[in-house]
Amino acid sequence: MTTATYETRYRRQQRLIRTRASAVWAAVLTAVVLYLPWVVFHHSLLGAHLTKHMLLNMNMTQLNVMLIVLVGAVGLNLLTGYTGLISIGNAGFFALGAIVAATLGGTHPGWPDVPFPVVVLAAGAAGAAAGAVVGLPSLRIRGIYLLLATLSLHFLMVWLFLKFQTTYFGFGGIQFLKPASLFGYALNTDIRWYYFLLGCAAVALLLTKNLLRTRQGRAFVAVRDHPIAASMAGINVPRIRVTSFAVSSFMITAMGAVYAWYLGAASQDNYTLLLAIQFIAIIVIGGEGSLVGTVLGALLWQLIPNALLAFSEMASGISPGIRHTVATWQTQIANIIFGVLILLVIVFSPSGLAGLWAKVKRTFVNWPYTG
Amino acid sequence: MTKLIQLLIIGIATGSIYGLIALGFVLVYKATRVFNFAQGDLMMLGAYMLTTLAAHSLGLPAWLAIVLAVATGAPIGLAFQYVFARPLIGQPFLPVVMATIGASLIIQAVVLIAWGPLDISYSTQFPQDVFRVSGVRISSFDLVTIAIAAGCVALFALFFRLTTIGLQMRAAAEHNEAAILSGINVHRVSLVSWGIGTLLAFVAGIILANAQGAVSFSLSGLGLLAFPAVVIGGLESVPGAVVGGVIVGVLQALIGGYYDPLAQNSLVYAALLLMLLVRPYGLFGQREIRRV
Repeated sequence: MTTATYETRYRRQQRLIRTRASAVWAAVLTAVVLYLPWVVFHHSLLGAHLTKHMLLNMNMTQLNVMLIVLVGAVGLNLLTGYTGLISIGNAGFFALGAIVAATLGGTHPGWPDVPFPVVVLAAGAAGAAAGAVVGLPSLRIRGIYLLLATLSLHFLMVWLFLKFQTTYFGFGGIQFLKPASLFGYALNTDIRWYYFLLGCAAVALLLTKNLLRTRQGRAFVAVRDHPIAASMAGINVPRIRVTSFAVSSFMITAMGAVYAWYLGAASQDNYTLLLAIQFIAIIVIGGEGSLVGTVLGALLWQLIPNALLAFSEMASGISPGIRHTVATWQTQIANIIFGVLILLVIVFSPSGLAGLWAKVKRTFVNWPYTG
Repeated sequence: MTKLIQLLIIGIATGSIYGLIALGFVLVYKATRVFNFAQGDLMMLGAYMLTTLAAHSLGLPAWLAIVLAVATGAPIGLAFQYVFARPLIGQPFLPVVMATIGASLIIQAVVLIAWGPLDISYSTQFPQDVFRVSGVRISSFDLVTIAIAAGCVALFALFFRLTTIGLQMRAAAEHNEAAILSGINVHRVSLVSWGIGTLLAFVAGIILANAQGAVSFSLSGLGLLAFPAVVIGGLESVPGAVVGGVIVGVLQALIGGYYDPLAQNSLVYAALLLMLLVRPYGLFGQREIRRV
């Protein structure tokens, strides 16, 4: 029976894709994500027509928002799943990203008009700085205090955003009229945005994966598992925590700038505490400390509300009331499902869907010696 | 000067409501080590319960509706303990917080579905008349609020001092294993703490419903103000929760009165951050010695 994949050479052990099975998986997934926009956009799969319901009412905007949320969730998982610190500041960081994007992105006459990639990086830098300032005091003491510090960051950022918005742009919100362009390539259609965001997600996932393979990344995990033992092993625990928080805030805030620009408008209502809580739901349900899990969580985050609506539309033939009820309370029903899933995952499968998947895989690999 | 005194009175009145929510939070935290993120949502649930029980169709007298609404807090707290806290006994801190965050998601969604997104008006039976003391306008409702909050705190202190279960709760908070070894039923202690903690949240929600004359979803934001209160007072300090609540209320009134009413809920969190920076264990909390 297979117990693990063993390597005889260290260089082989270091490779990202170590087995043939994972190479096949990687190739199939790459093909699927590259082809996906054509399926969603043209409602057809290799020439066969798909109905709206078969795609669970998915459209390009939702696909793109999901990718943006995925990167934000990867940032949060780096902090929560790998370093063991909980933050509820994702929506606040998104708001900060939108402020930076509006300041540098030529949205207001007379203000700087910096190229889009620079705006995104600047937003990330602002996020890392804000994260370090807010996180510094609390990271030195105890894990929970970061939850409280990021809670205050959320409210202060949203207030700052409101102040910024009403002072310079009025109550309607900030408009991003200029199409984003990437080295002369304008991101003016949803499909172009999709490939750009797919690139962002791939970069974020690969960077995180690689970061976790370095000394620094292993230190994150050591700090999560046993801070005292980690400090005995010569790890500067507060510094590792601040580093993790800064990297995570960088990713989230950079995505906040992209999110505002992609939506074309940013207003205070976009940045609710509920959004931040949904990010936590994504990483808990998907699997803390798992990148595959983060992807699964982000998928569920988008698919559950869509599936609810699609199923209720299909069921409307049986009972016409269902469609109306579900359409009215779509977000709320989805939130109840997320809440229940969080509880179930914590009680029955602490490593989330990713852990469940690993368990299933192990069962089949070791069959019939599974206990 | 008149304005300052005026704002102080308003601040102390609203602050004592936050103090009650925070008190419930601290009680549960001390007894069970559960950081209940949903405490503010339980407060909102209490306010909505009142609107249902006080509805004209039920025909209950106003005082009975209030008493019944307060009373529903206890079973809801027990149910909360069974569903969200009990399966997580022995789990580390982080998953438990996440479970209560999940609980907050569920409560908010259920409240929206059950009561709808629109404000529900509620006519209070408490005296709302305003009298003047040398230029300062004092609403008698503010005084009633302060009196109720002070009464709750006094009752709570007596309960802690005089009853057996109160003593057991103090013991369990002090040293959980030692309490188990001396034969204290820690599970019952946990149930009672959740019951009282939720009851206090409900009292706060019901006072807020009376103060505002309407119940709306924005109460969930007010409920979160219990967190600055507990941090300022110290996460594990019972008197600290009340004092912290009053400080938050006063800060809120001062920010609203002198700077910008729109900022009063947000800028209070600056005080939370400052507190984390200067005295993370709060005004009354015990200084922790941990060097990691």
